[in-house]
Amino acid sequence: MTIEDDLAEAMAAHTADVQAPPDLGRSVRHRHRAHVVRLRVAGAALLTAAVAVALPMTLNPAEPAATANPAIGEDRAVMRTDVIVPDVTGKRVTDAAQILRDAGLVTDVQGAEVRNYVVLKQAPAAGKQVTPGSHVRLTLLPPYKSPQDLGDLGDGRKFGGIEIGYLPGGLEWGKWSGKDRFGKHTYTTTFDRPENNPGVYSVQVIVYEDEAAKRVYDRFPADGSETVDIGDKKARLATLSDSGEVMPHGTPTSALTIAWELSDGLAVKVFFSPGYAKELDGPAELKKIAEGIKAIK
Amino acid sequence: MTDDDEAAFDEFLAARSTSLMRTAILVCGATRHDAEDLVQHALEKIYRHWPRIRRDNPEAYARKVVVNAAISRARRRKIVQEITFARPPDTAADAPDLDLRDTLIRELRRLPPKMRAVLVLRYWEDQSEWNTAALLGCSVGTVKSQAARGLARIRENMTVAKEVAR
Repeated sequence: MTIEDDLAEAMAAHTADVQAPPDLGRSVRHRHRAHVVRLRVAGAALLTAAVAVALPMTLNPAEPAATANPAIGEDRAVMRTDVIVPDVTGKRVTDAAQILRDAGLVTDVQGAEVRNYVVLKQAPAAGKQVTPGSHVRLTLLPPYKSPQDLGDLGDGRKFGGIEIGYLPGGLEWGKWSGKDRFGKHTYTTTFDRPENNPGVYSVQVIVYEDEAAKRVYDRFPADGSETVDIGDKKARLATLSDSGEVMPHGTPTSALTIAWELSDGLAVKVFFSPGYAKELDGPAELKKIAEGIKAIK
Repeated sequence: MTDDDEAAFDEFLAARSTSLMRTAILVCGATRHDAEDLVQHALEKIYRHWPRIRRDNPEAYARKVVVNAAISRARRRKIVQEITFARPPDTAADAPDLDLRDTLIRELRRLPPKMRAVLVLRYWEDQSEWNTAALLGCSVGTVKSQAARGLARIRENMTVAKEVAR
């Protein structure tokens, strides 16, 4: 037998019992939704950057053209008449069309019956300079049907064996819930602001029950995290990236997170979306939410 | 994305996701959990462009995304891996009774990520040299030399291991 055959056999044996999980499709679609949200955040940053660049140049229109390079003068004239494409990714198509119309642009959408669809991509991209009346092509995504694993939770404050006593003002239950989406015996839901774009959460709560409670600190390193007291328990608090690295507070696409063991076999993780964390005193509010969470039986 | 697209995507998952996970585990030398994360990430990319690519060999595209993601993840972890798999030069490589397969997998993990990817694609997936080159975005010559060097390295380490064990 050659080493190639040996190696092939070893590789086959090594992976023989690996099977893709049955809910992979669901997880992928879930991730996809999160991606659409991230796209929106990135687009907004791009637009801000474009405005920051464009502004100083338009602020000096009185400067005599003769003293400057004629070519630059020409660029300036173009600047002032052009439109900067706004970011409409992540918005409902009807809202996107309105925003583009207000900016003096024309929306191109393919397909009928897309009223509730969400914009996945746009071309040209946000921040590009175009002439007024230009067409912006939108790629759409059907509205995401949120899972309802735990049924109607009313105000959403009681689920998975806990009760949430405190939430910052202006939040509503996100009208969805997930069971076993972060491993067996986990329960989750979100609280959103009514004006959020579809699929954008503000606060997400995950409950880890029984053996799952041991995994509450998976991808939540103690190193770099702050330790805070929640009642008589110790909790970890940090801003975490997707892959579970501790990031400085305020890092875009990273979520301000707190996790602790509420009681034996019951652990809780609460996090703010990157956008929401910036709107209030994130760590203090997160701690307040955590202190208000009690176990119910 | 139409219902037909969604159904076709589910079919694609049913048919190919296990094989993609196995490839990911072999190429990045990761745990099952990490491999699942990596495959999910790759499949999300596929899902994003699904209506466009579904009729245009999505399997090859998926494999390419998975393999390249696995290579870059393996590179990021290189330092950790080297600590885990390296051994002091003067100690016995392996216990003499260790299974040949385990040793081979361990030697495979010690190779640089891209070399490992070449071996996985060529000898486990049985891809042609040409296909392997296309998947990794390199030349056929590179595939040939990386495969030969990878095998030579494993063979050499195995021989050393046997001699030390003797």
